[in-house]
Amino acid sequence: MYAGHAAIAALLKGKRPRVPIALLVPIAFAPDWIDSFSHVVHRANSNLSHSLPSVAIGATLCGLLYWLWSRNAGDALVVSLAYASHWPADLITGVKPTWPGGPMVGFGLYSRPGWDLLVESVLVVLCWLVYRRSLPTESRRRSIGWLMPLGLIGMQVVFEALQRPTFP
Amino acid sequence: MIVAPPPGIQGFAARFIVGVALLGPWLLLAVLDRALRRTR
Repeated sequence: MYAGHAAIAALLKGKRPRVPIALLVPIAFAPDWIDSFSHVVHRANSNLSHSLPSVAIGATLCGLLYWLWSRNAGDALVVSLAYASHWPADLITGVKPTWPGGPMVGFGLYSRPGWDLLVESVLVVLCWLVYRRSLPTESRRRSIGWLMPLGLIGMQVVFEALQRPTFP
Repeated sequence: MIVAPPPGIQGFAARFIVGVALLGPWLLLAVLDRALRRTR
């Protein structure tokens, strides 16, 4: 999943407006950051970034660190959820490791780019609607608010095109 | 990787594409959220 991770971060921001979205977005993408870094240092291993144990450890660590900083258990839980949401979201679109030596699982929607774009776009819009409710009333009417779903869907289109130069 | 660069693109260019893919949504949401929460 790509834009969907950012959308889930926006949804969590909508539910817990005190938690900075500038923190929630990279945490929602954290396994991808780890995976990308592991490629840079030539130690690529999807178990390190995307397996259930690594996601559980990462989510717990991030939640714990945020709780130590904020002393707010609800906000810390939302930070943990942002991290933990990565695995089930990727389960829909890709094929991901379970645990070292375990099976690879997933619905592999990436192989159907049109459906992937549709599912992620619907998720972006639904999450944006929840996020929007957390905004001040006057901001909800501002046209720049539309840039959030449109921008994420636009990035998803570019993402699909990069994966498959023949898209659409 | 989150984004597999197009065939033939490797090295710095490939890392640049992955970096932009990761930073893009982050910057978009951070900037827009800041702008939308600032009341006039």
